[in-house]
Amino acid sequence: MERTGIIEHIRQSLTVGLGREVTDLHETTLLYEDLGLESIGTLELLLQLEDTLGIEVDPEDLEMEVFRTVGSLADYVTGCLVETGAV
Amino acid sequence: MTDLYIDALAIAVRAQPRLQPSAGLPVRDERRRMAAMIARNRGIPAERMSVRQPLPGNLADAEDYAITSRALDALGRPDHDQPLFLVRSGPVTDPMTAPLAATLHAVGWTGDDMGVSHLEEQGGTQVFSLLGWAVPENRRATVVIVDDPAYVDEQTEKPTFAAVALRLARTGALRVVASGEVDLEARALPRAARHAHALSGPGACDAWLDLHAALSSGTVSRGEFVLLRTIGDECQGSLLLEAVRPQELIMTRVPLED
Amino acid sequence: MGAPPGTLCADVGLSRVSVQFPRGNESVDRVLERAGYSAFERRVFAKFHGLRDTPTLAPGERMEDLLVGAGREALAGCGADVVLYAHSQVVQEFAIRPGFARRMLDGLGVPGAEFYGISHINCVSMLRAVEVARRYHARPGAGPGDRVLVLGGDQGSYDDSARIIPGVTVAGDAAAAVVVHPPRSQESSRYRYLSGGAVRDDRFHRVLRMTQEELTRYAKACLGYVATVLHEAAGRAGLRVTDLDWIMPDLTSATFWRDFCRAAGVERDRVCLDLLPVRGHNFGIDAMSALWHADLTGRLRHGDRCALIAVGAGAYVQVVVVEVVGEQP
Repeated sequence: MERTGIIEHIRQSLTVGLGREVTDLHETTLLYEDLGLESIGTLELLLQLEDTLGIEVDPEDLEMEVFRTVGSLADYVTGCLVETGAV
Repeated sequence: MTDLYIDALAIAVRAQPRLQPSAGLPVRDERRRMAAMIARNRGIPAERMSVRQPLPGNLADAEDYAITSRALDALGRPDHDQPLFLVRSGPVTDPMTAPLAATLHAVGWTGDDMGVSHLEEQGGTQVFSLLGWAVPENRRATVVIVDDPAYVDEQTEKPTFAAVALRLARTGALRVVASGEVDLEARALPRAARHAHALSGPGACDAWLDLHAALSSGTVSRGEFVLLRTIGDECQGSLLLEAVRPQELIMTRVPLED
Repeated sequence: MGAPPGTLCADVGLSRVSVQFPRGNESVDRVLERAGYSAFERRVFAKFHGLRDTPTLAPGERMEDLLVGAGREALAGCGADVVLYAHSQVVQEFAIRPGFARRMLDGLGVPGAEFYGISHINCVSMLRAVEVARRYHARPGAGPGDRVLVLGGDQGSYDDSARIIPGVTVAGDAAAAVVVHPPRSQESSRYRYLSGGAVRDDRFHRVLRMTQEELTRYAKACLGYVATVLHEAAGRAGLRVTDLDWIMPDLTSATFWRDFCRAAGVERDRVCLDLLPVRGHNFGIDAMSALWHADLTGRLRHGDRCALIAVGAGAYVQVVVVEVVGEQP
């Protein structure tokens, strides 16, 4: 899956999770500060991505850094997809 | 008992308790459910339970810290950090918040804190058995005794709807001589204590309100003793005080009202 | 509150911890579903918070019996001068019936003891009660035979609103007890108190009425406070945090401890979370129950230094550091 595709999945999952249309997402968009995502929301976001991308999130591997930006989250998702062979 | 004295006494009393029959609340109201639960556990009809409504528009009262912070404000800030003991039993109006932490936040308290519960009316007397050893030596402390129930059986209960705040010190106006169950061990008490002024009531704060009145009117003279008694259905407690320098006791009584 | 942590009466002893769980159990997922939580939210609790089951009184079981059972086991046939009952809930259905204190004392077989509830400080109450017990043993006239029973536990199951902290955890029914001995006690202790620490941040007094933004700040603040208080408590015992052999944690959620270990550089293996999926959070008794379980399963060795950590809504953090002494169970 292309990087843009991953970010689009993140955008759609954020839209569902935040209950509002999320547009204009960039690699450097800050998940907490710019989008107002909160801690429980990040976990629900990961579950959305599990369901839509077929990845398996391991809580033990989650570093706080993953949720810093859209780009850092996309890096994490890419890693998960590599493990599933989807990338 | 370690020497403890009381050098300030402040009382906050509700001007109007605003009791409403719980049966008048909507069926799904959490407080009506709570009142029914309390009634069931006490073995009385739910219809006897009334609910105390908070002061209108008063968030502090809705979250159970208006009367405690009022009493502490009246008592005044201590000069140095000291522990605060909140003596309060029974359910509160809002179990979703932390009324002790809220009180401390409201008054800007910086010392330690702790709640003491399950003493019921004996919180007005027997708690001094705990305070005698729980207050660190050479330290002062503040105690707030609360009789301000959120749920009342109006047929049998007459709460004072008050909070009594006391500043405890190692020297002061009133000396805490002894506390315990009703029959304080006579041989351990001073002879003059046998002629103590006796003040009693069914709740934790009744005798304290009477003490305030007695001291304010000059009824208690220097060197005399006062016996405070809390008389509950299950047990009774006593607290013996000596009026060492009653004229130096700093006393305040304030209403809690709209 | 109580004796200043790490100073007076520094070497009180603690008996083995006794814990009573009810016969009943309920899945956390079922509790949340009943309360109207979405499938996503329930998956968060299971997958990330690591919560699976919560102890629940079975029909006919009573919370008072759990408390008495734990207390009697800890007393081991001996008396107590003071009973400190540490609880988080201010609304306790089982304790509303008049005469609760008297029934407890009679049930424990210590009718002449003093009984005090330690309350309004939420889930740090049991560890705080240990500090209050130290104060008792430091009083003038204290004797080597004095005993303080510290009892803890609440009933979450009486109402779902009492047991669910939104987005965070689900609390259950359980009781724990420990006897605190004075320094020169003739009784052999299982643990020796080394030090303690505490902090309060009363900005968070609105607890379950906090906004989501406040809850996020609260969670972040707690991580920092736990690290700070742990560091201070270890220091009072002459230790660094890395010298501690075990952390007996508040069992609110695995998410908290993952975040804490990463932020504080503490090895995950040193945090005893075995009970988290099967017993979960049980108000103020978590750290004591973690200690009990670690001892029962042979994880503890003589000389091990264990930090018991509790976090209470309001917010409060309390740490007690003990050393394992005495014989294994």
